[in-house]
Amino acid sequence: MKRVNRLPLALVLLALACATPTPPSELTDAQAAYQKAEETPAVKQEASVELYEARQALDRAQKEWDTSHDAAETAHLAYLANKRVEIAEQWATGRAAAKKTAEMTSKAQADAKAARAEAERAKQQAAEANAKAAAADAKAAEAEAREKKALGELSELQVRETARGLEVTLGDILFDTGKATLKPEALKSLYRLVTFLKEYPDRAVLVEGHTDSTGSDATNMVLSEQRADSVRSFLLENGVDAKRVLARGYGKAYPVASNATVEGRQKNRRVDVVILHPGENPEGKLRPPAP
Amino acid sequence: MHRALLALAGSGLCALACASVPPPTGEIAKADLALRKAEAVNAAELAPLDARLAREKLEKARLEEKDGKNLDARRLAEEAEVDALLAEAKARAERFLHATGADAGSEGSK
Repeated sequence: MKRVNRLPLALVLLALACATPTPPSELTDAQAAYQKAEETPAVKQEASVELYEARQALDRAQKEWDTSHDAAETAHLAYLANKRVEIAEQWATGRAAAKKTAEMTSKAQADAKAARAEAERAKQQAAEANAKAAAADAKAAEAEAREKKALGELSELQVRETARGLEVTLGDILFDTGKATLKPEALKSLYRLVTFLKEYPDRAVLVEGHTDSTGSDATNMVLSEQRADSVRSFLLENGVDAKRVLARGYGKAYPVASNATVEGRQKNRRVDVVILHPGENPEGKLRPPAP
Repeated sequence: MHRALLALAGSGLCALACASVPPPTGEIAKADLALRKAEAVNAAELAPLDARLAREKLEKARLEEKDGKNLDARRLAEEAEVDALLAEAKARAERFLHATGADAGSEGSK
C-alpha cells in the first residue's frame, strides 16, 4: 500500500520540478530589490561599492539556481543578496545625511563668519560716525565760541540791538572837529568791526554819518557824508566787500541828544554802523535822507 | 527492501555531504567580526531587530557547527554576517539622521 502511493507522488514532483523549475521567491525578491536600488541615483552615487557587492551576491544566487536548481541554497544566497541591497541603501542614506550635516555645518560656519564681518563693519562705521559727530560738535562749539568772542569784542564798542540789526555808534572821538580823517585811536574799534564782518560774511552794514547843529546845513551834510565815507573806505581797504557796505551822510537831521549843551552836541557828532541781520540786503535799510 | 535501499542511499548521501562540507570556521569568524563592529556603533539600540537577528543566527551557527551540521552552520553564519552588516549600516545612518554633527565623529569610540 505504502509503496504504491509513494512512487507516483515522487514522480509527479520530479516532473513538476523538471518541467517548470520555479526559482524561490527570495531570488525574485532580491532581483526586484536590486533593480530598484540600482535605479536610485543616491544609492548609485553614495554606495557604489555596496551596490556592487549586492550585484555579486545576486549573481551568485542566480548562478546557483541556474546550475543546481538547489532551492534551499538559492534561497539562502538570495537572502544574502537581499540584505546586501538593503545594506547599500542604508549606507546611501547615512552618507547623504552625513554630507548634509557637513554642508550645514560649513554653511553655519560661513554664516557666522559673515555675520562677524558684518558686525565688525557696522562697528567700524559706528565708530566713524561717532568721530564725525564729535568733529561736528567740536566745529559747532568752535563756531559758537567764535561768535561769542566776536560779539564780545563788538560789545566793547557800545553795541545796541535795534530793529534794523546791531547798531554800533562810533563817537566823534574818531574824528577831529570839522575833519573827516580817522584818528589813530579810532582804528582799534574799526579793526574789531572788520574782524566781525570777516567772520560773518553774510551780514551787510550801513554806515551813517551824523553831525551836531553847529554850522551850515550844507557843511554838515558834506561833513557827515565824508565821515561815513572814511569809515566805509577803511572797511573796504581792510578787505570788506564793497557790496556789503552802504554809506550815507545825514547832517544834523538825526540828533540823539540836545544840541543846546556841549555834551549833547558831542553825542550828536557820530557815525552809526548798523550790522544787518544775516543775508539782508543793505539797499532800502538806510534811514530816509535829511529833509 | 526498498526502504532499506532508501535508507542506505540517504545515509550515504549524508555521509558524502557531511564529509564534503567543512566546518564554517571562517564564516563564523566573519559574522562575529561584523557583529562586533555593529555593536561598536551601538547597533543594539539603533538597529535592534537586525542586531538581534545577527546575534541569534551566529549563536545558532555555533551550535550547529558543534553538532556537525556544517551546511546549516555555514548558511547561518553567512546570514548572521549580512544581518550584522545591515545593523551596522542602519546604526550609522541613524546617527547621521538624528544626531547633530557634534557626535558624528565619536563613532567607533564605544
